[in-house]
Amino acid sequence: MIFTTYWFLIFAALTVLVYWLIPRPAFRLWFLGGACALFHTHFAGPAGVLPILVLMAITYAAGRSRHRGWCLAAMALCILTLCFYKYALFLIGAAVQPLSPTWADTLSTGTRDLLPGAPPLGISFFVFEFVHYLFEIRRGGEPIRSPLRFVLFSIFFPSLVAGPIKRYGQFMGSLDEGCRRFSTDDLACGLRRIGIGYFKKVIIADNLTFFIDQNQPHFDAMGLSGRWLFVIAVALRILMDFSGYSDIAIGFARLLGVRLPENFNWPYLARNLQEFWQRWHISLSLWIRDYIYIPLGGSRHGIPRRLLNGLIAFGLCGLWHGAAWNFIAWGIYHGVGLSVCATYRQLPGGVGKTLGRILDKEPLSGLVLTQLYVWLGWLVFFYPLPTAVKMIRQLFVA
Amino acid sequence: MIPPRPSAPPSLYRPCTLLVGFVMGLLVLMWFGREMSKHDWHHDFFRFHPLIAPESNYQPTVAEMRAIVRARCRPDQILVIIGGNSIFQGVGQPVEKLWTRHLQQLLGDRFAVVNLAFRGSGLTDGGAVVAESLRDEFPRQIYVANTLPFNGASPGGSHDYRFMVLDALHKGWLLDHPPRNAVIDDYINRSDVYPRSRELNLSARLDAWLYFRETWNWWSCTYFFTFPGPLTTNPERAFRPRNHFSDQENDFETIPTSRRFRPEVHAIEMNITKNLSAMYYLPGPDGRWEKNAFEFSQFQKIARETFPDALKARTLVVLSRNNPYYTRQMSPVEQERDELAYRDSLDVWHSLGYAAADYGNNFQPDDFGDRTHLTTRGGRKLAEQLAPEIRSLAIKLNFPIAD
Repeated sequence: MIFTTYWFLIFAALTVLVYWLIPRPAFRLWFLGGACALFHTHFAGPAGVLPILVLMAITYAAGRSRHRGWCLAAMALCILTLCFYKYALFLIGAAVQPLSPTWADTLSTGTRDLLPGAPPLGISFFVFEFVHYLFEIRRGGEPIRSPLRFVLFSIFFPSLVAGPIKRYGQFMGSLDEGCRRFSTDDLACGLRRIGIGYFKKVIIADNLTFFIDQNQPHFDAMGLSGRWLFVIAVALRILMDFSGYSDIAIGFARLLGVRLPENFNWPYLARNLQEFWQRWHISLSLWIRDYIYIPLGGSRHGIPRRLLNGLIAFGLCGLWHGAAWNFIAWGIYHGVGLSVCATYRQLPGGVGKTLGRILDKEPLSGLVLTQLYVWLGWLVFFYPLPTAVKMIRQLFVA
Repeated sequence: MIPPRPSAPPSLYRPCTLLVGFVMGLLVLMWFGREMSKHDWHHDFFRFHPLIAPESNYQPTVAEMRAIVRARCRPDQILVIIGGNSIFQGVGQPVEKLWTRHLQQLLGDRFAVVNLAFRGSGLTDGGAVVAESLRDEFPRQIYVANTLPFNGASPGGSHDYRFMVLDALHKGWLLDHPPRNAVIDDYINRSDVYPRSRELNLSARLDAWLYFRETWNWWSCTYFFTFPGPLTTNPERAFRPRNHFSDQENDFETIPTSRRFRPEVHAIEMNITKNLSAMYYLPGPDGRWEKNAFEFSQFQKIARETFPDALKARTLVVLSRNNPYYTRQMSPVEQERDELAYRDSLDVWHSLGYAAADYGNNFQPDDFGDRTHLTTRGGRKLAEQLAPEIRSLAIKLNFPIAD
C-alpha cells in the first residue's frame, strides 16, 4: 500500500512544500511533472515505467492527430496492453486450456517469460483514462497540446495508483486553475480529507482485514450471528479501505490545488442497486456507463438488449477488478441485480407495481434489500465461487 | 467542466488555524515522544513476554528498553544485561521462578540483572543493542548472551530484530563499526531480497527526529492497543492496553517428563542434535576428528566482527547445550565431536578477546523442558553456573564487586 509508506509521506510533504514555494505556475507544473515521474519510477521501477511511457506517447500522438482511425487504433492498443499484462494468463487458462492443455501450457510458459512479476503500476487506471481521452477526441474533443500537461494527466501521482479515474477536461481545468494560486481552503480541505482517509484505511480497514483473515478459516464453526458479523466486517472493510484510499488521493491532490472527482458517496445508504452504483466507485461506474454501456446501445433498443448490455458492462466491470472468475461472477451478479432493479415493476399481474409501491412507501425496506444484496456480493468478490456460495448458504442455515 | 467549489469549511477550523494546529500538534507529539522515551512504563517488567514482544505486533524501542534498564540499575551497580534467545528469555519458566531472578539473588545488590532476551534473537539483537547504547552511561556493564558452538552473529543483528539496530543506529547511540555498517548498507540496498528494508530504515530515520514509536508504544501499553495481533485475535483482548496483560509463561515442570519428549518429533530433534557439530569436523585418517578448515575460518571471521573491539571484553558468550536425553542417544564418536566443538568454539571466542563459557554439561533430562529450553530447576542450575563467571569477569574488568 503505497500511501501508507514512509517514502510516500516524505515525498508528498516535500512535493507540496516545494510546489507552493515555486513562484510561477508554469514552473510549478514542470516541478510537478518531475515529482510524478520520480514517484512512478520509485514504485514501478524502470521496467514498470516503460509500458506507460509507450502508451502515453502513442495516446498523445493519436490525440494530437485527431484522426479517428488513429485514435481507434491507439485505444485498441491500450486495451490489448491491459489484457496482456493483466489477463493474458487468465485468458489462456479460460479459453485455450479446455481446447488443448498442451497448447495452453506452451502459451502460459511463453507468456510468463514475457510478463514482469506484477502488472505495471496503476495500469487499470491509466489505460481507462487513455481510452476515455481518445474516445472523447474521436467525438470531437479538444486534445491536450502541451506534452507536459499530458504527462501530468497520465501520471498525476495522487490518482495514479487507485484512482479516482479522471476525465481530462475536468482535470486539466482544475490543474490550470489550482496551480495559479495557493488557497488556504484547499490546504484545510486537503489535510482534513487526508486525515479522514488515513483513519479509515489504517485504523478501521487494516484492523478489519486482520479480523477477517483470522476468522475466515473458522467460518464453518461460527454461529449465525458470528457469520453475519463476519459479512458486516467484509463489507465495512472494503468500503473503508477503498474510500479511505480515495480520500487520501483526493486530499493530496487538493493540497496541490487540484480537485479530483469524488469516488464514494455513502454507498451503504443506497435504497436500490442503481443508486448504489451512483454512490460506489463513482468514477468507474461513470466510465463503464459512458464507454461500454452506452456505446453498446444502452437502453435504446428494448428491454432484452438493455439487460444484455447491462450484463456485458458489469461482467467487464467485474473483470476490471482482477483476472479471476469470482470477479466476473461478482460483476454479472450486479448486472443481474441491476436488470431486476430496472424491470421488476413491469412484472405481469400487477405484482411488480405492488412491490414498487411498497418499496416507494417504505424506503427502509429498499435499503435493507439493497444492502443485503450488495454485502452478500462481497463474498463472491473476495472468495472463490464455490466457497462464496457455501458461505452465503451458511448465513441462512444454522 | 470544473466541479463546483465545495462550501467553505466551518469556522471552527479555519485554514490557517488548522495548519497551525497541525504543525503544533506534530511538535507537541515530538516533544511528548522524547519525554516518554525517558520514562519506564513497564512497571512489572522481568522480561519481554510474548504480549509485549514482536510476536504479538509490539515492537519495543531501544529508548524504551534503555528506560527499563535505568529504572532497574543504580549508577553504582554493575549492569548485567541478558540477551540471546528464548532459552535465556526463560521460555518454560513462570515469571516468579525466572532464572534471571535467581541470578540476581546469587549476584547480590552490587549487580543489577536485566533480561532483554527475545524469542529467536541472536547475540547481537535487543539486549546487545541496549547495552552498547548505554556504554557511557553504565560503563560498568556486562553483556551475557547465549548461542551455539560455531555460531557467531551478524553485527547488524538478525533479520527479525534488525529494527532495533536501525533504531539505535539512527539515534546515534551505537559505535562506528564498519562490519555492521556494511551489513546495514547491504540490507538497505538489496530491496529485492529484503522488500521492506528501505521502509524500515526510513521509519527509523524519521523516528530519530519524531519519536513517534515511543509515543505509540506508551499509548498502546497504557491506554489502548491499536492493532490486533496473532496472540490477541479476540476483539476483547485485541485492543486492551498491553500493560494489562501479565507474564503468563507456561511452566515446563507441570508437564511430566515423559510428555516433554514426544515421539512424533523425536527423529527431528535427534537429527538437529546430531548435526550440531557435523559440518565443522571431518573424520581424519587416524580415526580422530579434524577441523573443517573452511568452516572454521568462516566462524573466526564472523566472531571477530560480531561486536566492536571496544565491547568484546565485557561480552560473555555462553554456549547452550542440548538436552542429554538426546545427546546420550548419539554414538560415542558423535559425542566426542560435540565436546570438541564446544571446546574449540570457546577457544575461538577467548582468542578474540571475548569472555566465554558453556553450560549444561552436568544437566539432567529433567532440567530441560524440551531439547533446548530449561525448566525452573535447569534455570537455577544455569544461574549457579553463570554467577561465578560473571563475578570473575567483573573482577577482570576491575569493576568493584564488594561494598
